[in-house]
Amino acid sequence: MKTYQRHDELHHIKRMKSFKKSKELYLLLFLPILYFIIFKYGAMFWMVVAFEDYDPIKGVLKSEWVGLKWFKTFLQDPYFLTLIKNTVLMNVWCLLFYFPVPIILALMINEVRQKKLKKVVQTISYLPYFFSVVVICGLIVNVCSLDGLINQILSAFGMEKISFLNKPEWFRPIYVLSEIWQKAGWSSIIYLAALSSVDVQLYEAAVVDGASRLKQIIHISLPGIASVISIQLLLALGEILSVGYEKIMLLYNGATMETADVISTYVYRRGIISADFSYGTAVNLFQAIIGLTTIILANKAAQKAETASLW
Amino acid sequence: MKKMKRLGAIMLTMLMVMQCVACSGKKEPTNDNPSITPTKGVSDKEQNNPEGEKKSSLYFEDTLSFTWMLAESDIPLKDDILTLNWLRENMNVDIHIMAVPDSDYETKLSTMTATNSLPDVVDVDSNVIESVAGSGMLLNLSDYEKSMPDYIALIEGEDRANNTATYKYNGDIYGFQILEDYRVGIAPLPVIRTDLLEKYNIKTPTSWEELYDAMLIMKENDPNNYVFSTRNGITYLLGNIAYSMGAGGYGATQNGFPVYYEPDQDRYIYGPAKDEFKNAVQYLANAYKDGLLHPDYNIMDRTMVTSYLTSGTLAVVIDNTTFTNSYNNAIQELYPEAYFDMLDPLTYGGNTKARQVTFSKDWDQFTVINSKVERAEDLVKFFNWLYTEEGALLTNYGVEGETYEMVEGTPKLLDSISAIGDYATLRANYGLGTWYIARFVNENTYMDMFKYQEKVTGIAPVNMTQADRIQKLKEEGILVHTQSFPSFTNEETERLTTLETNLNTVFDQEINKFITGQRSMEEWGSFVEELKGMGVAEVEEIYNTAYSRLK
Amino acid sequence: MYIVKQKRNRRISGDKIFGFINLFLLLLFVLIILYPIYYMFIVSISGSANVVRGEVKWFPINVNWNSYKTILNNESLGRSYFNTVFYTVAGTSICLFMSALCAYPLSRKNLFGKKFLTFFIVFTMLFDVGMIPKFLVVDALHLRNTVFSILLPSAINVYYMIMIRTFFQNVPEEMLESAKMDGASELRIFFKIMLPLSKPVLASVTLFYAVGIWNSYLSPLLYLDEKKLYPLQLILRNIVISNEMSSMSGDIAAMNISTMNIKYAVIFVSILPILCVYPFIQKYFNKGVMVGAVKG
Repeated sequence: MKTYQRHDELHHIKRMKSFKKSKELYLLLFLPILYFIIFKYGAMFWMVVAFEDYDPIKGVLKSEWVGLKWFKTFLQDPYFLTLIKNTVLMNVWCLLFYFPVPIILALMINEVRQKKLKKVVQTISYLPYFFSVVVICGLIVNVCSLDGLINQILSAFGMEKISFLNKPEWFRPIYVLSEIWQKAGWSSIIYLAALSSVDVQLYEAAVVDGASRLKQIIHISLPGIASVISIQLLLALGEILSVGYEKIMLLYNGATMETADVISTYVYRRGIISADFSYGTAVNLFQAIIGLTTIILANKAAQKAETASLW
Repeated sequence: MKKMKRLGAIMLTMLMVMQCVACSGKKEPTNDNPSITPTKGVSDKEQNNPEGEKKSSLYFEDTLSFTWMLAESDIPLKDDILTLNWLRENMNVDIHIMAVPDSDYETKLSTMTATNSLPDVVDVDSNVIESVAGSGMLLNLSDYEKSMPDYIALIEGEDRANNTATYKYNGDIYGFQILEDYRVGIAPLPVIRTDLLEKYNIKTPTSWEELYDAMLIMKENDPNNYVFSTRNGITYLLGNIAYSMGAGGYGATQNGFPVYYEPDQDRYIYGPAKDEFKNAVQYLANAYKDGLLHPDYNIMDRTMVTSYLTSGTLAVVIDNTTFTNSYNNAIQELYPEAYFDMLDPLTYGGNTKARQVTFSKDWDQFTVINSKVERAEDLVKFFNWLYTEEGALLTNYGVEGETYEMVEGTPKLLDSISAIGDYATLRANYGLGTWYIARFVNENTYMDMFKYQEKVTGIAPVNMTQADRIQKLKEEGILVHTQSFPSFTNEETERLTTLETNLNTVFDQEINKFITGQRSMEEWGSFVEELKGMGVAEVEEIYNTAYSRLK
Repeated sequence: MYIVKQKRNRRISGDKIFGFINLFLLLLFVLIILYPIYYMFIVSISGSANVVRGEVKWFPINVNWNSYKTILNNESLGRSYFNTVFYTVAGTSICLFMSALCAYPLSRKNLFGKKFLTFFIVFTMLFDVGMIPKFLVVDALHLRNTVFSILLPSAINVYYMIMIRTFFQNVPEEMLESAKMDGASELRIFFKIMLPLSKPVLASVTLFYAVGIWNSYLSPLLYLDEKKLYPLQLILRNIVISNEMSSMSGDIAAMNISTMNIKYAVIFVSILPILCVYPFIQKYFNKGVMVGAVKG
């Protein structure tokens, strides 16, 4: 009993000391914290607007309070389900077809024995990540048009040309493929780094046992990066309801709307272009809360399954 | 230690550079000529203009300076330019142009309205007035009617009283509309490769059916030719064809919603629900099936259409006819014999008389004033001045002796100016025309250029002959201007937003299926019923109620 | 003995085939990545007529630099280019400094209230508030239409900050302790020990920030009113997203026809600096980036 008390006391003293010690560190933190308070939390204050009938003249503080009106409107909107469906589907597509690519790519690059070649491949695969969205979309339109690269290849093989950007069923594949083109190389860095920290002795032992390289990948490399994969997966799940609006806005049109229109583009059209500020903010908030919930739930599941979790 | 010092030095330099840029970033000192801050207006004015000839009828004793937000596209907007400098010198009006990239104008405008931080003066379209005027953010110009006699006289004139009344909000004026004084003829008509018509011995089409046959012949002779498309998406194509076939909506109307004014019935109608609309859809569906409509019809932008037209993959395009000139210039580099020209409005289904709708008479672009400005009355006076003969002359023709001369009482561009050859450069170099500050637009400047070109080359530019033809078509009543929408009350607007958003969503999604054959045309009837079930009748009623208030 | 050897040989040849296929697939991937970039370049230097006819596929035809000359003559493009370079250099410095400043205390084991602080910061990552509230803040601080509106609001990216923090955490505690024994202040430790030791992660984060600022268009669009402050991306968007204004309002066709060549030349010019800088920073990547991220 006594020992426990003493332990507590010690702990307390330690904490006080730690605070005093931290004083200097807090001084360093002053600017960053100020930054977060002003630019992040200051801006979050705006979220109140989601519960108001916002009037720019009256401002955030004096606008009329309407409670959950906008949330109800959104949930009752016949278009609501389509939006949710499109958003979730787009993310599911990304999870299924984009998510594994960086992992595979990293495993493949990791298998390249020639150091210089490895470096060249890495360097080039990261490149597209640095292009802005307009540039990427300009490229996509060009490549996917009727006279574009893909159609030229198709017709070279005697297949019929397709107007890809005009077909709703092609929108998701195009979107995901372009994501792969732009980001797969970049995202593979994280797995590559994880791979480099896998114990070399494991491979050596495997070689002695006569395991093929493919077997080494499956039995050593993959398990070695499993925790990183699960963390990335968790992060991706947290974004299940969010898809960036910018790229889609630049690529969709009336014909592809039925698969391309997602929550963020809708928010942009309603909230910004049609100046329905309260409504847009409400939908935004809704999306953020769902995202937060998913990530928490997924994390719980991960903790139960005893794989790596976010916190 | 050495390294630290270097780091310090770098940071210091950086800070200094930052300060410099920061300074230059601050708002320009609003007065370029500090000497013009007269206390006694008249005498100072004479001091500035010793010849006393360049006097303007309107002069402000204290510099009237304000920021004006305008969309900038291909034409760069500058403060230091002939017209704006003239205003500084002769009227003591210092305009500072806030050039916002056209591609993102709406986003910027919306953010500024959301935060009530609009600049002094902004250019907007009628939709924005409708959604913002009620908030009190914009200056109610009707309170200053006495200071704007020239503008009032124009908008209440016989030829536009009806139309401009539709832009009032709750009976009040909130924006200075860009008005037409003289405009080079322009219409959304089919533009066609006439050299191909000759080559294949096709009679110039006068009806949609004949055009279809002509396109078929072109396709037969050159299977690589997709024949036709547009660069504004399917609704634009549909709208213009539909009007010609007896329905309407979309196309050259100003709004993204297919309600249009039907002159035959003197009321507003939701186009797609009208029986005749089906003809247009059917026409395009057939064209798609027969390989006449370019499969990329929905995604073409200016660059794409141009490159298809000039490479010979397209022969017909429905578009703003004034593009014809640029198409010809571009294609003749590749095929010297190629020639684009517009078709006269086409008849349909055995009708003898064609009908075609064209862009509204005046522009759907308004200059609104922030209600927070201090010198509201002076600003109103200045904008009114832009509609006077003097103001129109400056903003369209520039400065006498520098850009134009008076010939028998009418202004004419100097030959050296006409030699520039294209309007974009003319506007860009001298600050003229709609994309700068002209509010009462006189496009005779372009005609001067065409005439000059004709004089030098001996060939009349196609736009010149088209302008004459379009003028004649208007006089004959075949080509009519789009009628603007009546203005609505707040409740009406709110209801319309909901109805229109839903209707548009469904229409946009389904229409392409009909055209590409995913849905059979036999289902069209049930599709229209579906649309009707979503409140078409209510929409039409709201429009016509608002319209009856005007009458 | 013989049997084992044979088995190993077979395995080795199997591995060789594996390596070959692996390499082949990777090179294919690299080609797919490179071709569009290469294509943009050859279009930008080919004759416009050839481009329109679709003849330019693998090699430039009628090589000329006209589109680049047009761009160079464009006043606003030149200035916006300079602005972008400035924003990128200044902005990246600020971001880097602020992020490292934030990361250092958080990396220290004995920081009081570390858990709460971390939560306080990470929480902001989960809520993206949108552009209007950010605008309100910038406006309230009177930063609008100054370069600071571009440099300050996104000074710390939480993700990158955590990356730096994790890297800092891996610096052996003993080094810091011994410095403390010598009486060095935290500030001194930060500048003299932490920063020099963390070059890899700082270099990588520099690139991230730089790319982010280089490509950003929304903040400049909203916060800047003065054309002479515009960065390249605003101009680029205006050129790439060809506007349809003149047709919709029925204005006379006033513009010249912008060709593919110019479009691609502008795009190419806009990515050129990154293509140049990138190889120099890339060597730090594997060391820096992910020691930070993996364990974070």
